[in-house]
Amino acid sequence: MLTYVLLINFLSDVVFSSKIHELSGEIINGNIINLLVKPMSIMKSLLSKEIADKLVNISFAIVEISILIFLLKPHIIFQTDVLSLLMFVVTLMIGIMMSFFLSLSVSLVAFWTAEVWAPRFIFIMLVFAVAGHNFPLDILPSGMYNALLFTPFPYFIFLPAKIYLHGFSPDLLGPIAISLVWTVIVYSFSKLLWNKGMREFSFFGK
Amino acid sequence: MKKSWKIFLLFTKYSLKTSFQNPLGVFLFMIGKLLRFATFFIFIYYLLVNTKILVGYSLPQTIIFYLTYSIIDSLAQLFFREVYRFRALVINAEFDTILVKPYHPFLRILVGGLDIMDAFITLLYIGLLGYFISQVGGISGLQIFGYAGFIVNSFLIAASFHIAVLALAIVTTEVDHTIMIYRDMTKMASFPIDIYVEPIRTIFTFVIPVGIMMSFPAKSLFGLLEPQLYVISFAISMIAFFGSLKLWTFALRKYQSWGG
Repeated sequence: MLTYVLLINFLSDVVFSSKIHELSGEIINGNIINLLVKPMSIMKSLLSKEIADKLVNISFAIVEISILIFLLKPHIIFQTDVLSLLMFVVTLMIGIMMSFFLSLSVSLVAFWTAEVWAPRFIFIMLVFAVAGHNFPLDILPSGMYNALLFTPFPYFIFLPAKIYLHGFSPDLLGPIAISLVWTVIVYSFSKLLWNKGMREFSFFGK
Repeated sequence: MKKSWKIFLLFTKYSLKTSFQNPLGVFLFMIGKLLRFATFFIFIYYLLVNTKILVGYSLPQTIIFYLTYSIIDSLAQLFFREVYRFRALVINAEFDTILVKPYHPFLRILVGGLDIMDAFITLLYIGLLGYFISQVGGISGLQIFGYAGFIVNSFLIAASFHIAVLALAIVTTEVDHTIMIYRDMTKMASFPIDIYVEPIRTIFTFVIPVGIMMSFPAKSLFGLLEPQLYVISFAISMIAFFGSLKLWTFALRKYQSWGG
C-alpha cells in the first residue's frame, strides 16, 4: 500500500502536471493570435512546453519521494521483470497522451465561453476521484470497477501503477486496448474542437 | 464593532451578487465539490466494509471524523475565500487602497468574499453529521457542546493559518503554494490522527495543529479526550492566533508597495 501511495503520487506529478490550462487564458485574452502568426505549429509548441514542464515536475517528484523514503524507510516494492517495466512505461505514455488531449479539450472550451475554470474544476475532481489517486480502484465492488474500466480514467495512473506493482499479465491486454481506443477518441475530439474553434474564433487588435 | 459588522454584511452582499452573475459556474463548482466529497466518502465506506474498524473506530465514527474535517474545511473556505485572491492585490498595488480605508483590512482581504457554494455544502455536511451521530448513539448533550466548542477552536486555528498566509503574501507575494501546503496538511487529518505513527502523530497534533483542528472535535464527541487536552488545545489555538497577528504586523512593516 505504501508503494502504491508513493508511486501514485509520482505518477500524478508526471501525468497530471500540465501547462495546457494556460491556453484557455490565451484564447480569452486574444494572445493566441500572436502564437498563430508565428511560423511554427502551435500544437508542437504546446507539446514541447508540456514535456518541459513534466521534466521539471519529475525532477522535483524524485527529490520529494527520495526524502520521504529516507525519512520513513517504508517497505518499497521494486519491479524487476523487464516485460512488466516495459508495459509500465508504455501504459504511462498512453496515460500522459490521454491526459494531454483531454486537458487540451477542456482548455478549448474557451473558444465558446469565458467560464472555463468551472468545467476544469469538474474535470480535475472527476479525474482525481476515479483515476486511482485517492484509493486503489480495485477496492470497489467488482461491478463498479468493471464499469470504470470502460471509462478513460483508470488508464491515467491506475493501470500503470497496477502493472508496476503486480506485474504484467495477458489479461491486461484488454484494458490496454481500451486505453488505446480512448487515446484515439480524445485525440480526435480535441482535433475536432481545435478546428471548429479556429473557424469560429475572432479577435481584435494585438 | 457595529460599523465592522455593517461593512462585513456589505462585502458579503457584493460577493453573493458577483457569484450569481454566473449561476452555471456556481452550479458546476458545487457539483465538483460534491463529487470530491462523495468519492472520498465511498472510499471510506468500502474500506471499512472490508476492515470493519480503523484504529479502533467503527464506520459511523470514521465518517464523523471525515465529516468534521469537511465541515471545518468548508467553513474556512466559506469565510476566507478572499485570501486566495490576495496576491493580485499585492502585485498591482491595490492593497494600498485597502490599507488607507477607515476599517480593518481583514474585513476586505480575509472575510470580504463569502463563498455561497460552501454555505450550501456546509449545511449538507452538518445534516449528514447529525445522521451519523444518531447512528453512533450514546452521545450526551455535553459531548455535543464540547464538539461545538472544538469546532469554534478549529475555526480559530484555520483563521490563524489564513492570516499567516496573508502575511507571507505581503513578504513573498506567494499565496497559492502556501495555501496548497495548508490544504494538504489539513487533508492529512481527514482520517483520525491515530493512524499515524509517532513522531508524525505528535508533530501533526501539537506542532502543526491539524490534529487538534480535525481530530479532537470528534474525539471530544466520543468522550475520548483527556481533560488536560481541552486546555492544551485552546491554549495552542490562542498562541496560533496571536502569533499570526504578530506575523501580520511584522509583514505590514515590511510592505513597500509601489512607492510614491
